[in-house]
Amino acid sequence: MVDDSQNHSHLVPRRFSRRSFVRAMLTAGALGAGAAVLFEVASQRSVVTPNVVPPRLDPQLRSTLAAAQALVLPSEPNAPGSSEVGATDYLEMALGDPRVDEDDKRTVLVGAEQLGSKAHERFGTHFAALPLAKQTELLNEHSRDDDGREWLSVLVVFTLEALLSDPVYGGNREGAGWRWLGVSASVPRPAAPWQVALAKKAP
Amino acid sequence: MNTDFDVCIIGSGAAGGAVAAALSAAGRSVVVLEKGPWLHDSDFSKDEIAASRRGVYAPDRKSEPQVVETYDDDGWNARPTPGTGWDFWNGSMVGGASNLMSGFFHRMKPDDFRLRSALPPIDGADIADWPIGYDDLEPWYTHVEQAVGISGRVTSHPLADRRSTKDFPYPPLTENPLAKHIDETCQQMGLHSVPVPRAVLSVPQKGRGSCSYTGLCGEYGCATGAKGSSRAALLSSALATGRCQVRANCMVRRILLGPSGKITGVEYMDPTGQIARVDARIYVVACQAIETARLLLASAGPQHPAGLANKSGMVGRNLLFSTAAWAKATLPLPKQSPEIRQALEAKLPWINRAVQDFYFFTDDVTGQKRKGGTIEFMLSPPNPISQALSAAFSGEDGPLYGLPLKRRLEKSFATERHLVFEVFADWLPHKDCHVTLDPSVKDKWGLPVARVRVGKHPHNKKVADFLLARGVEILTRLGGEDIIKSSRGAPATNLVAGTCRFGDDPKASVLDKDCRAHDVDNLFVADASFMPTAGSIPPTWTVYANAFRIARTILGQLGG
Repeated sequence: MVDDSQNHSHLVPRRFSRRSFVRAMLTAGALGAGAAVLFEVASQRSVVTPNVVPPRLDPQLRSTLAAAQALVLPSEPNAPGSSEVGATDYLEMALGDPRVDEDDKRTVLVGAEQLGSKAHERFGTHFAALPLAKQTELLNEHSRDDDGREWLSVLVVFTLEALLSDPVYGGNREGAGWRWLGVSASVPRPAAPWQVALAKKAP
Repeated sequence: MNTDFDVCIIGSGAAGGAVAAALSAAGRSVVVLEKGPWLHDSDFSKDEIAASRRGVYAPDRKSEPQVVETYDDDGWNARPTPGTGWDFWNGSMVGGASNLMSGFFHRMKPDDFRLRSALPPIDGADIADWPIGYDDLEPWYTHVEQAVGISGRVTSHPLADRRSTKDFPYPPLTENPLAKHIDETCQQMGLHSVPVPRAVLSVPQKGRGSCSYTGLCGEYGCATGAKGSSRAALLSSALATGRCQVRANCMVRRILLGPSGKITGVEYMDPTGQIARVDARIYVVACQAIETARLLLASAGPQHPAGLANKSGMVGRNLLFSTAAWAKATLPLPKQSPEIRQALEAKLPWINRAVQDFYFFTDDVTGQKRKGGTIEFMLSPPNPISQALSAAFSGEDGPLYGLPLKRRLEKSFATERHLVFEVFADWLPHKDCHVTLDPSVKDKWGLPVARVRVGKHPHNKKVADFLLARGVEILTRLGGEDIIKSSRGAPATNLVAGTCRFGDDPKASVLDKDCRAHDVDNLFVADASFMPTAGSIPPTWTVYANAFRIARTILGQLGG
């Protein structure tokens, strides 16, 4: 992977995916049909879209992702968590962003599908319906091996983007993330997500 | 001769903008063909997702791939760039990558123009002297200070530039008081912490606003007009003459050579996807080094079977970057003196300091004089997502999550500031670092793409490692903790040069000393492709200066 120091340092690479694993999972049909179709919809989304309408996640997959994001950023009385900042709305929008790495989209969906399957196999219920302690246990177990850690890394990246990006992207609701960490938004702020802003300039 | 324009410029970045401004000011008619869209000051925001996380101002590699060749155990392997982590694209829009630069401006030093003569040779590196010297470029460096707008202050130090004017036309930007602390610490270490000039206006000028001190120059477009992009500073005045036309969303497919051996026109895809043509008396290519080489190679024909202006076989060869390395230190607020703490808590982003005491050094093994480079200090730019990711991934074992992540985020944002330095070291010209045309991969226009072989000389990393160590000594002395370092000998892909080196020998160079193609009388290459060596600084000031220099030659060739 190239060192993308560029004009200033990025300590964390922008992409984490284990390409071959993810591709194998996709072609082996291990994905639920919903997620596979969702992925195809997301990847075909045109750049020049006047309104950025995110593809809707399958409800069960969405609830697994929301629960996992809540484990990444739990809610507290004096500090917002993933649900207050709209992290799953953000993720849904990001899945429709043509500039988000396709492998990262696949990774986050595949891992969530697997987590959901484990919950059903082990406890006979949805991941999101489990008590927090069981969710935590499953997530820890799931992210122990290389691929699971890859999935968790991608999920953390999306969730932190949701926390601190401009609210036009669906997260950081009313600037709650910025307020919590004392961040003053740099100006000028965007009026719209980049796809809308740049669509007007495309040929 | 009846042509559409006097000059056709392909590419509207630093070099293209400078040539357009100079020629239209002198009464010549100019058309500039730009592949990307036309974005204005009002289109730029400090949207971290767009500018930094998604890189939306550069082409999408899915529709505009390039091919990268890297050396693995089984030899050279070529792969299309999507999904590899490699990305050679930079800003694609009117003004090009100059819209997104940080604008830390440095002049090359006299020996940079003659590294072959001035220093012992390095095996496996095809270092060539430039056919011009510092004195040839000095007046143009000075011209750029006014034309583009450089703010700064001259100080005295061992490697201070010889200047024809006393000081910069614009006063330096307001600095964070930490800069003074860096000056004092360096002085105690026997080093010179030098103020770095910025291509950023400190006062409003010529219809452009001044810096608004967001601290977000690199990767971001400038909403105030303060940054000296070729769009804000140069194309604006070119357009105002009424003699310059900029055609955005126009991708040049081929340059057409006539039977007389002169270029007769340029074929491009207009915004509707139709093929259009334009002709001029003189043509200037300035697409950044990789794409310039690609265009020349793709414009091969019966008279130039190996590529336009490529009788030497040198087009695409000796691709250069800057060798990148960096380090980051944490300055915990509670541990700082009240004075430093106050400085760090102030919303003053600019440090603007560099150390060039190691611009040359003595190799401790051979005792030979070697070219070193530049260590440039800055506060970590205020990108909150990037800061959060650094905090989350600060351990060895995967990311933090849950309450430990939240507490770590609070600690980072409330109690830490981060001081960074970047290293700039020469990327040595290498026989396995070059651009060719890919035989099969095509872009969305159906055109064969550039194939970039990234071979690197091991000396690059040795120099970067040496400079990294010197910089870390300074960070440590400043009280920096938890220092994170990176030196992988990797190329900084935003600083790209070489591929059409200039020189006096037509067998060993593509361009003459005025950047005119040896083989094609009405073709010039104005971007950093001309450089036989690319220096150990960001080269943009040199690109601007040289482009103004050769514009004078172009004007003479037009007969005025």
